Amino acid sequence: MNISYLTFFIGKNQFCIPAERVLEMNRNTDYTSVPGAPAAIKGILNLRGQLIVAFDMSSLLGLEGSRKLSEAVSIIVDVDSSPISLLVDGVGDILSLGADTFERPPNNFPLHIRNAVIGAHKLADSLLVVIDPNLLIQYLTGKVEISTPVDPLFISP
Amino acid sequence: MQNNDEILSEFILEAREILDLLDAEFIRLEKLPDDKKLIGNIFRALHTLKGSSGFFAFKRLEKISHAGESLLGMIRDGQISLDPEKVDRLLETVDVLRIIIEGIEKSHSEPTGNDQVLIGQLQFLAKIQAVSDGQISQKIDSIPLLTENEASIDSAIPFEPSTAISDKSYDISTPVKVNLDALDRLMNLTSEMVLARNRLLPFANGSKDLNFSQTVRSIDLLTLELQERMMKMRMQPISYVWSKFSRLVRDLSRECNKQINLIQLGSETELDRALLDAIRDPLIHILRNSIDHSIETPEERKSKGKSEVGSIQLSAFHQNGMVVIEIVDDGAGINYERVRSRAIERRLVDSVEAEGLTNDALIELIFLPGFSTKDHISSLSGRGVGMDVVKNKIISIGGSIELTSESNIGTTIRLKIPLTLAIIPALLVGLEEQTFAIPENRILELARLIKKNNETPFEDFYGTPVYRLRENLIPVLYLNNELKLDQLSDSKSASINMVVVQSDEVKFGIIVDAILNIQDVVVKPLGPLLNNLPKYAGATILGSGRISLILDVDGIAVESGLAGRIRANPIHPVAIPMETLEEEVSMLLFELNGLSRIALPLECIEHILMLNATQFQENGDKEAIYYKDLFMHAVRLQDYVSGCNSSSHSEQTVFPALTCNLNHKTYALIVKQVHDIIQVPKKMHELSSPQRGIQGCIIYKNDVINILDLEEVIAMHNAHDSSTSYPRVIDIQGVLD
Repeated sequence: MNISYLTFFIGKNQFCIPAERVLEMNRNTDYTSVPGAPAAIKGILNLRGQLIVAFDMSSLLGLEGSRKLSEAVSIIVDVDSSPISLLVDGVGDILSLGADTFERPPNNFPLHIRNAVIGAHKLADSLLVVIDPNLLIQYLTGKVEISTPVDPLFISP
Repeated sequence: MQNNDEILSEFILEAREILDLLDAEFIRLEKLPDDKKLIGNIFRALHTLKGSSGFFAFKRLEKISHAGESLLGMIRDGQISLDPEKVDRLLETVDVLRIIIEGIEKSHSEPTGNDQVLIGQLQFLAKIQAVSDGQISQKIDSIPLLTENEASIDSAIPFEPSTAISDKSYDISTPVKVNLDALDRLMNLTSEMVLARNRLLPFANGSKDLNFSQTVRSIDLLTLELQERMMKMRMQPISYVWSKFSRLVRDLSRECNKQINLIQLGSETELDRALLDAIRDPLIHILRNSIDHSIETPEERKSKGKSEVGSIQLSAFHQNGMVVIEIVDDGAGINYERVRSRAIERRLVDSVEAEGLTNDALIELIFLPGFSTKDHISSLSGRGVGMDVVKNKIISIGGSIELTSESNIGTTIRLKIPLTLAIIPALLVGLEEQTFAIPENRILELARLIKKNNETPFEDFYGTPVYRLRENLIPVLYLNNELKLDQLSDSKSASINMVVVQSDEVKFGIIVDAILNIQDVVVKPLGPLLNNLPKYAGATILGSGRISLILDVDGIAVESGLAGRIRANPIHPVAIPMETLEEEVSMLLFELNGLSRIALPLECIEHILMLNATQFQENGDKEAIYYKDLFMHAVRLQDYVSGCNSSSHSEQTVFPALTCNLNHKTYALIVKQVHDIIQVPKKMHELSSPQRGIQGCIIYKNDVINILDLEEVIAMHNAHDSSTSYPRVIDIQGVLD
């Protein structure tokens, strides 16, 4: 059974995420930065009245992004039924790929991105790295301690 | 299947409501055993429950409610009378029903269990008195004996469909149940709508098309109304929480062999639903404490000359945009000596320190973690999780708690709870390119400091910048440093904007680039990913669609190390001998028509408002103001104070009003102009001949300043005294009451 993937670019590097997790894509990148937040969190975005956290994929994946902010694309992804935004340089095609081309990462895979990458698909001319947004959040919340959901009206002391 | 589930969950909801109702009604019934209408209500409620259980074939529910219903039927028909034992049994029935309902909710099927004992007891109660009462022995034959046989059920119930149905039909506006999630979503949409409206407004203002601007105007008004209604929809009466308390108090007082009467006043007072949920546990805790620790046993009470029945009074009312909840008991009160010895025992203070503590300071100790005076651990309270948990919970929702107690008279606990947390007034400040919001309730004052000769207005306290604010040193934080933004060079502008804020522990100044405006903001949580940033209390979306972070003043104080540091080594010494020679008070200096210098102690004043003439409304021969859900009596001070020209109601269009509270009423004192806050010696000069509305005078910078006699003015106001002559005798006490 094939799975659809949305491909995106950070600089020259191509990655993909499962397309069923993508809620929408837009160029609304007018984020408000949150001083003190982890480096990978670029800030928060206003998605029709909902606050969503915007991740800078280039810093998350330890890559040099080539983009100016105005050219970035925000991919809104559903993680545990709450959306987050992944800021990337650009998006590519949607590919339908099967399990036959999939490989898990080798053991000597760089530590800092192992937590976000579940594997890669062997394309004809390159390897397409698959990012799992869920893993990503788990990795981040491992550092950024996740607590019980707060009531939206509750201001923590 | 989906459909079935829906019907089932509706049934569960309904059943829970019925059980809550039964709980409350049984307690009332115990006090008014002859109230036929009440019995009828209970009977019908139980009957409805039985009917729906039958529909779902929940046999246990059906049998138990049937047995309860039969007993009630006989009570209603006057065949047997109600006594505490029957009430106990009936309440027990309600409990078992509740357990079954909970089981159904979990597993979608009826939990198994044996209810023979309970059913037997109910049947026994229904029979015993009928038998023992010779007068109605005739009737025994007519009452079919209840058996476990299903077939007998129908004949045994005194069934009255006609009354049940006719009562229902009067109930035309049945409320619709909406779940909180759906409401929240609507709320969100509404705030979006408000923001969209905000974006629309500038177009209308710039447009010459009359039709267009009229349309926008009506959208504007509708949106405003929509927003207000939405806010109201989240509000629920406090009885939502309180209704469970009568049962709680009854059960607990039985358990400790005490007699307690629970009085509930103002149960219609409305609060945000989320807050209601948050105050439930603290209130239960306080009630438990009152029952277990404060109210004495009937014997003790008798020996003290009190009524054997203790009383706990719960009351709720609105005050200054907050909801005040008071829990007053007439028990033994706090035993201060016990608190003192307990505190020493628990090593909360050392014995020398403890001796010097006043009663107020001892009360503070009660709020410390791990404090409990009860010597033995009872099932009710005394587990060491005590008032500190209550206090933390109340503070976490932006409220406050006060406790006063008098030996043998009782204890009063006062909770102040904000109406809602969703919308708070906040000051927007600019820093670098960003806008931040500071909750207004934390802000003491704003200061614009001019740099002389380009020198910083701050002093260096061994490396830490501090500022002399009216002779008090306050530490100063640069917001950009705290948030680790780029270093801002001090010399950029000629002035510095400082927001003086009060955190839980310290007062300090926050330096920002610009002070923008105060506005109501909708608080949104930052979510789990950013939850670990104590410097922020959330975020809000501004009219432009941009997000602004809301600063958490307490969090900043702690993060900067200020809160910890100050506690260890207070900057303000407790007493400076030089200054204590003359005790000073803060006074608000204002002007009345014809009297240019008059002042009122700042502690009397709650707010200063600017009112325009249209906000004054007729209220009999007086004037009243309705401002932000607050009803205030308007008092034009010039009519009551000697030396004013009361006749000229001038062409002034905007009136400053000082609001104050006296005897649970809110008054708005209308003045001509507000000048300043001044620090003056507490001791004032008496006037040689008494002047109407003036208490005395003080000298401030060579000027004579009159001090308003607030109580007298209010007394005159209430005494329907429209004449301007000075009444000879005012029975102030009488008038104020």
